[in-house]
Amino acid sequence: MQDKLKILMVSAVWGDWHINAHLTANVPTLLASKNLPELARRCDIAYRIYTRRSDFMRLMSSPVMKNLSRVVSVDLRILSEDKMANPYEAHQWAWQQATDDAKNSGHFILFIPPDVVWADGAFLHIPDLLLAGKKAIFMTYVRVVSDTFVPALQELGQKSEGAITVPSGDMVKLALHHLHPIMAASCHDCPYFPVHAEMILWPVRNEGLLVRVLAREMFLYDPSEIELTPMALMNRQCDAQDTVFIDDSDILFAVSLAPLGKDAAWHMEYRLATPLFLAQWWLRYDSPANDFIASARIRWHTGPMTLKAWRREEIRSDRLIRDTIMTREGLRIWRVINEMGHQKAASLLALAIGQRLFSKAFRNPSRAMIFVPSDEAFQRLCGDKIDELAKPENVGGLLTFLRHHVVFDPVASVSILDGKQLGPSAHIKLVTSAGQQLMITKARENLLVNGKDVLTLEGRVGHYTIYRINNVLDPDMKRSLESIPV
Amino acid sequence: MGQSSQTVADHNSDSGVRLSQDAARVSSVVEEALDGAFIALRQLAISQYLMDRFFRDFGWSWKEYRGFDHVESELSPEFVLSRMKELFGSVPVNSQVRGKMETSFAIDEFVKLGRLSVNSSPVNGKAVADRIWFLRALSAVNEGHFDTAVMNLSHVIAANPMSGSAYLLLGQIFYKQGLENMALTNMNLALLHPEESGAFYVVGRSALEPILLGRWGKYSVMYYKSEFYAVPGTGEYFIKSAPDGKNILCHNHVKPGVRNLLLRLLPDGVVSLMRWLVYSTVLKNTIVTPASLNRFSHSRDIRSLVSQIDQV
Repeated sequence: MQDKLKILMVSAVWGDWHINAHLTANVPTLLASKNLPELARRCDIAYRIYTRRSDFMRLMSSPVMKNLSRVVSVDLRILSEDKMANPYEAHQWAWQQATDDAKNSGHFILFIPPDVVWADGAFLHIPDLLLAGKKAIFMTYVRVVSDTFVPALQELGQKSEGAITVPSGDMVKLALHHLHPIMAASCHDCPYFPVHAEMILWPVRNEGLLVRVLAREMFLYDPSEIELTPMALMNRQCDAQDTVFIDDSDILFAVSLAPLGKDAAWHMEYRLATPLFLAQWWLRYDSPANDFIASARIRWHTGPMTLKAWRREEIRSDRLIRDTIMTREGLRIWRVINEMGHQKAASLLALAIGQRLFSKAFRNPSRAMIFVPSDEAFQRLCGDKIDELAKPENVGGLLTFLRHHVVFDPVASVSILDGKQLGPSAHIKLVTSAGQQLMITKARENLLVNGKDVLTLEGRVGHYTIYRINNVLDPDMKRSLESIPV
Repeated sequence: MGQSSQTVADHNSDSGVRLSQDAARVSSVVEEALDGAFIALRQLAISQYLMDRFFRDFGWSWKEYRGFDHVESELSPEFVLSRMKELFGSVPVNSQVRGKMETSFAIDEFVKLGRLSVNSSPVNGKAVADRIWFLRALSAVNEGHFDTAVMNLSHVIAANPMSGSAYLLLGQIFYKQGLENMALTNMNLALLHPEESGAFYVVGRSALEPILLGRWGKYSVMYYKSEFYAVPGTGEYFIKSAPDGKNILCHNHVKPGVRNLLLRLLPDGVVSLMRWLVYSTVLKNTIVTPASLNRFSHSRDIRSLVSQIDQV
């Protein structure tokens, strides 16, 4: 007989507002029959709650907590006063300690924020997903105005033995009626788009919200398999085999409570969700898992969906996400090139990014070699000629020029980096993104492109290996060069 | 004679300096308070605009939105805007705070109309001037006046040389105009200076609950529902976050003298224990009770409130 899956749930909660949210909304909705009771039936659950000394008794003596401990084993721990001096660090410390313990004892870890409300059925599918081999489960919350939402929840929810039960469709409807203004600001076309751009929304008229998330903290994962970045994001690439982002409110839906004015300062400026703005934000929250997360088309819906209407918004959202991904990758490469001091190449790339052309030149962020012409090479080519590429009538020329300097070939990239495989008589054939063939050979210690242009490794960033080259690889530009008298 | 004259002159000068320092202090405190109140109201106004916009797009009637149900009808969008204008009118013409307020009005106008009105006056203070000039540039671009836009953007960069948005817009204009060299240079600068302009406004509370704006003499100046209040600053009255997350005004019935004496005499551990006893038992409801702001001096005009405090 197979052992039950082991899950360590963890919350960190203190202060009147959070304790109240935890006791009046979070725990009662956790106790809905298809949530914690169902999860506890199929998995071995331990629930650890960290709090401060002055809130300990209030939690201990609460009837809600007594109901909770009938369903799962609750371990209430006190954070020492010296840790509480910095609440943010105390929170981090608590989560890290729980994660370490889960890792050592073979548990999955499940983070339960105290100010969250769960629709009934939110935990129903989790055991199946874990049994199917998922090592990480992501989800995200819709934010609502707590001042009005909680009383409405108390009124709407079906109450029994301390549990509050609300089906997901009703919960989505309730959340929309009490939507927090920051959600409205996060709509893709909002002129007050928040400075913290973690999610983008596309309303689907009368039916719900399509959501795309750019970066997400962990919800449930196996800490023995997954490490986190310093920003607490997943520190490895993932795929649908071992990771899932729950993308349908019928499968999991939860809301995050916040007072009306919370984070209002994020959306007080005129700001649009352009690919460049989003890409700049995204690089600050960089994680190898971000593209997987952004690929999820999350549907929060009140009832049956008109597929055509949802599909239309999905296509729109795909376009923005794709452009943003490529703009982010362009920025990533630009930063290296600019730092290396290749001003001409950096400026051309900056123009392509700023004019939203880079995402037209390249559609997917695959492993690639980037050949960066040095400023000297551009100088020899004649500045005027290269500047021609920065004219609006030469968009095609600029895109082709960029493509001539990129090769998507992971195998060749590794072979070139590992110089041993490139003996004196050996060569590697490459094809640029523009379809031009390049021959890499070795002469003494130098790598040559097409037998004459010296290739120098400058660095690696993300999926890219960046080389400096003392020429340009665009044949059209070469012809221009040849036509210039020496 | 010279000595005497010098003495008189010094005396006059000292008194003059003191008076002008006092005036500056009054002015600075008043402006800070007005600024805080204005920001709180603007956050509410923007939230109302956002929800109205969202519900229209979503196809639901605005009347179905429940998230403002706890906001009394007194704070309707029209009322909030009129109070913002009143606060704006009470700030000295050349002050930095007025510049910030003007900028806020300009941003909100641009968001709603896609342009700035012709009469939009120049702003005070470098810290905010860049925003107005930038919006003017955007307006000019929308109307196809590229040269005006470039001129406006040069003002932005003069005020804030780190403005990535300005360089980006300049790069886009020069690109359209076929000035390739300028386009390349500005685009590169745009990526070099990504902005986080949201850091400008830092107040996170709405106008629906009391907020502490600062101290004046022996009083704490608070703002609640469009009124300024003078609350004794002895520690007897304080703002606390209630279980529902709202700020509420509380009254600690232990006299300040007794409290200070206990704090001075008792070891920290005993103080913590006493606090725990008070806040975790029924004692909490007798020693600390919610208080009403209505019992304190209040005014819709911060200046008259400060004058009232000064006369006490």
